[in-house]
Amino acid sequence: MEPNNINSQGLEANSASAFPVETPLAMAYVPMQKIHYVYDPDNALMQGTLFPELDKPFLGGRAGMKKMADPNANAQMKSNYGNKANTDILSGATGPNTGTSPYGRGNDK
Amino acid sequence: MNEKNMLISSLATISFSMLDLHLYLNTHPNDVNAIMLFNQYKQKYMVISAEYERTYGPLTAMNGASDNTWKWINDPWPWEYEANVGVR
Repeated sequence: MEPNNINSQGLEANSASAFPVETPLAMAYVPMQKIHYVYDPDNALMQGTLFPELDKPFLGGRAGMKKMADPNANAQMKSNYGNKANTDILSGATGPNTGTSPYGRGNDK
Repeated sequence: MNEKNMLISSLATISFSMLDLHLYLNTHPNDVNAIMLFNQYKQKYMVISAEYERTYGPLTAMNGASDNTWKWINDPWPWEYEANVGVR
């Protein structure tokens, strides 16, 4: 009898993978960026990027662990961003032409 | 911050966001939402830069002439210290 996670094609595809199912092994890849929301321009300039998913401050040996494993680094991030963290363009925009934002919190499809 | 510096600061932040979107669009040229956002920023930039130049003179030599005077030679130039005092 086959285990539950085996079907006729072999192991089930991992739905959490960032790569297409047919991605060949033993090659190096850079996943395509997907925008969910953007910083408002003021925060973007201070953080050095418009995109929260690319906002990776230098943390020495802790790099890459700040969100998952290091609660102190996480707290540090929050205090750096203050209340304006992750503001979408609608609420962060100043001046004329604050039209509807294509990106914002809760816009994930 | 006085009005002049606030305008300069707005232009700096908006053009930074436009630059980052520009890089994103190089690899995602068909992302209509990103294009829409880019155009929103561009619109904003044009409004604010026009407002700046009306009062404080040209930001680039491209817009150096108005009222039959070549204003680009007026000091300070945008990158000089005197033009940026008080801008964060």
